[in-house]
Amino acid sequence: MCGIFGYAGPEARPDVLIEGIKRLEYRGYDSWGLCLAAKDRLSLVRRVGRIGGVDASTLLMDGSPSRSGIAHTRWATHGAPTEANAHPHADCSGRVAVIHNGIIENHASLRAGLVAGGHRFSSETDTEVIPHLIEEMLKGEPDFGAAFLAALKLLTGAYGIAALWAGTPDTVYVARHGSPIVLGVGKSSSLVASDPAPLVAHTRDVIYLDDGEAAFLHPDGFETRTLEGAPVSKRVQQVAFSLPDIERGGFPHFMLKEIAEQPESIRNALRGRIVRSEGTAKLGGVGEDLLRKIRRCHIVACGTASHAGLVGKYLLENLARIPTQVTFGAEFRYAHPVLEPDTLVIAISQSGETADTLAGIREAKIQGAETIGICNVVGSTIARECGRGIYTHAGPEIGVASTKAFTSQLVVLSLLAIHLGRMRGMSLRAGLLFLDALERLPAQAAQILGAKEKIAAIAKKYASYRDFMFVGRLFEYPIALEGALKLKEISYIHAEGVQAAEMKHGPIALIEPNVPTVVLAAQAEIRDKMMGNTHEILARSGKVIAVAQDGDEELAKLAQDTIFIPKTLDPLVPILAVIPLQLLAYYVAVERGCDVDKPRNLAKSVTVE
Amino acid sequence: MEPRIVLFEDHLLDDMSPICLTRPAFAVTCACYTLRDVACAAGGEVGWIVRDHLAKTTAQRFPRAVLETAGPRFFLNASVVPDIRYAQKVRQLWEKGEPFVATAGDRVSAALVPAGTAAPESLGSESITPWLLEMKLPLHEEELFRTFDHQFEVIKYLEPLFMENLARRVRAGAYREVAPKVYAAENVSLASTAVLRTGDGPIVFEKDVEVADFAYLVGPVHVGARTRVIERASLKEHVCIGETCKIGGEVEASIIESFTNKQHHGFLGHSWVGSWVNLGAGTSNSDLKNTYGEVRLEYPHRRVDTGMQFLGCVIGDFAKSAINTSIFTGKIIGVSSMLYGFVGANVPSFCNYARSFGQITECPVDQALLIQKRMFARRGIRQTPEDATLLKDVFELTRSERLISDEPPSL
Repeated sequence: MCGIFGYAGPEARPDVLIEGIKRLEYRGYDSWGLCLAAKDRLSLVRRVGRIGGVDASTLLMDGSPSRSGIAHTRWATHGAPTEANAHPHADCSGRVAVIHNGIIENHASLRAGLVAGGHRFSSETDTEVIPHLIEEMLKGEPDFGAAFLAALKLLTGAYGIAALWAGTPDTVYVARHGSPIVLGVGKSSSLVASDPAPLVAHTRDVIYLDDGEAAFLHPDGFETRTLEGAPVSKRVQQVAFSLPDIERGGFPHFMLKEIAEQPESIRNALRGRIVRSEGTAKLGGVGEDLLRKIRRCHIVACGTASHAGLVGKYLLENLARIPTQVTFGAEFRYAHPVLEPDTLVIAISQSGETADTLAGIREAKIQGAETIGICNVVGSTIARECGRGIYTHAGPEIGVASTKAFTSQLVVLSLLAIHLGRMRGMSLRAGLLFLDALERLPAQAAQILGAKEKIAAIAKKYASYRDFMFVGRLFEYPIALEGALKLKEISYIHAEGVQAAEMKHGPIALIEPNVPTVVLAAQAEIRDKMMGNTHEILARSGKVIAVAQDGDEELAKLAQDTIFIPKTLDPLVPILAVIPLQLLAYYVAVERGCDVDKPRNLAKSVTVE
Repeated sequence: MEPRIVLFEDHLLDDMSPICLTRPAFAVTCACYTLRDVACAAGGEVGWIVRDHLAKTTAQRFPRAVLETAGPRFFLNASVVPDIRYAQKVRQLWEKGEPFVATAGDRVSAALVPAGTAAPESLGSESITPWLLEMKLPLHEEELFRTFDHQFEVIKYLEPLFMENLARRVRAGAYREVAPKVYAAENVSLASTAVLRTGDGPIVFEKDVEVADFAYLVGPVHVGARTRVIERASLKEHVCIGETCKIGGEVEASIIESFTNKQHHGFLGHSWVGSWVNLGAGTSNSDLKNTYGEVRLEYPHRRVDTGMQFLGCVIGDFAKSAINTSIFTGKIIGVSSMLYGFVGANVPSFCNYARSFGQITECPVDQALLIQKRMFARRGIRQTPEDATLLKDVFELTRSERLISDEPPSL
């Protein structure tokens, strides 16, 4: 997730552009840049890090009056956060500049073709293919708008794009396919941004561009077209939100916004990684030779990421038949782990800066083990020190309680397990079934989110309880732990996650009318066992909130409350089953008046041991 | 509408070497049928997609037109086993008309592609599987068709398929029942002293077959047209002989493709022998280990358990054996190789293999072509440029086999 801002009008100055992308910094903040067009040339500035308090007057463009500019704040996906990888990106001539939010899936093949044609690239990003493609199109098409649209036809993936061309210095060229774009309609200016936040300082009249549409912005107006070039009329709407509302996308808390973003973040974790033609997944950041030689996996992680690791263990053992162990980052170093030369150590961390996990990776490397990282923040310390890994592409996660980063970690672990499984005898049919199921997840997540009012009502009913139990088996056991953790983190309710079969070995003694239990029973294979657990809890006057597969009316009749989730393959159930638990924790916390986004005593990224 | 079937080779045929080096996978005989026979039995047109080096010789034998149609097409993997019951299954799926893709193990076994789906001109054996999968046709709930994934499976499927396939052949053909469960096409000559046992299965002779004195046949057996079963030959259970062969000695549970001579004494059991092979007098193979254990096949860098207690050898087209050659259990003999003495290891294609005499050398392709020309001439067949090119291509394709076969030349 990145933020883009563009302006065509009399005030095209660095300070205006910087103010624009500052409003978008919550969308990404590892690097930024801007570009102004004037006098048949472009002036470009790029920097690493947050925009912070940069003094616009120090950003010497060339002093020429300008009528258009674009600016970008980056959340890295392809290439570390460096100045070279920051946007805007230019073509070989320096006359085309592009900013982009999204992922170009076919960038590698496009880049190879362009390099073979003599184009020189200066970054590792997927975005840089776009200005070079436009440059290529300009060789046979004098009209920049037509060349711009022709270049877009070659792209596969998602994009919100704004571009400048030195030849038309009063025009900003914009297009959307899968990433948000909003146009601002000013009196003597036209604007574009990833969302309305930077526009409200200029105008409250906006146009939401749809997928497959483009716009050419001029100081005195704009044209909207389809990507095929046909004119399209758009409705001007009034922005009614406050600025903080816009940053949170209209949600009252970042946590709820991030929960709601999961259909998209799951889609982004899958994007470009499904190789249907071979019934497998493609993970570019992990060497095939490495994956062929490993015989064991050891996952190192903390907190929510360790729960993802536990799901990962089940996935790797079930799908790929690779023995896998999970250890907390803080314990790894001191537990004298047995790391054979064919053991792969997998570090999972949203921020990529988790100190305990980082220490574990360093210990693994000292012992000569192979390491990979599963991180959300590109170029983070763990990602760098592992040397190779898989990015989750979840976008910035602001809420302290991890939500979308967790489901993205599960998606990535599923892809890794399928890839390893296909290398080790998983049939083509099984591979295809998993890929089909993975591709259905975004819509299924959206379906669960559609029931949030019902979950809010259940939360309200149980918000006053002081103790909770969460029980699950196999793939849902780590989700029981995660559901309990979410509740503890933001609502300060004591909660325990328990392996359901272990209930009778102790925890069932806690069951009484004032201790409600969340029963996770959406896996087909062990659903009947969970029915047994439900009966045991009810027999002891406990209350049951069931998370069940769509249509499981038998369980719904037993439980006091039931949240249904769509059917999927058992190994993928955690990705869906956790979403209602996130919502349950959120609404309980809101009901109890807790500060959801900044819970007490907790930090987003734990960078101390 | 009659089915339009495209038999397609995919990218997973390495383990079918040497059987499929010189013939499309749909032209491999097992239990008296090839897959093409099965597809034709389903009715309609039958086209094909094969590896590049087989395209010209395949085009000489089989029409291909069906691929170009704009209507629906039934894509059937050329490695599907030639089970005659599949003809009915193909027809039912075609008539049902619901697009699907089905898998078998690691490959696509079949797909019903709807009308209006244009196949790219470049569609070939390497690109067909990705093309079928990327269409996102509904994945069929069952693995509908089994496939030959290794060459030994052609022998493994012989017995399970034989009775059903042979029964269908009898029902569909113009045979006279000349003795109980002995079926003969026209102009079959059976010596009065030949013994034909059909208690465990029928014996079927195609036209112009000659069975000489004192031959002993135990069904189920199928003998192809113009084949001579010479005096004192013994063909026992699940034997499947192609056209224009000469068969003598003892043969058990084996497939011999057309134009092959195994004229003299010697045992051939649980084996597949290609076309234009000559087995010298006294050539025998072992099909049972002394341990009575499961036979395991050697492949480059790996071994595969066959699950078979009885498994003989696989002998590629144009191979020859000298007198008294002895082939050990579960060995694979390449195309155009010459065998002498004991054969205790797999033999690459185009090898003069006399390891027990301290010699393993490459058989030059020019020599192989000369032998091919002479053998063809004996049967009144002209060697075409396409025939010669195929052998040259196979020589190049198998060059790496000979390079890695650097075992010391001693027993």
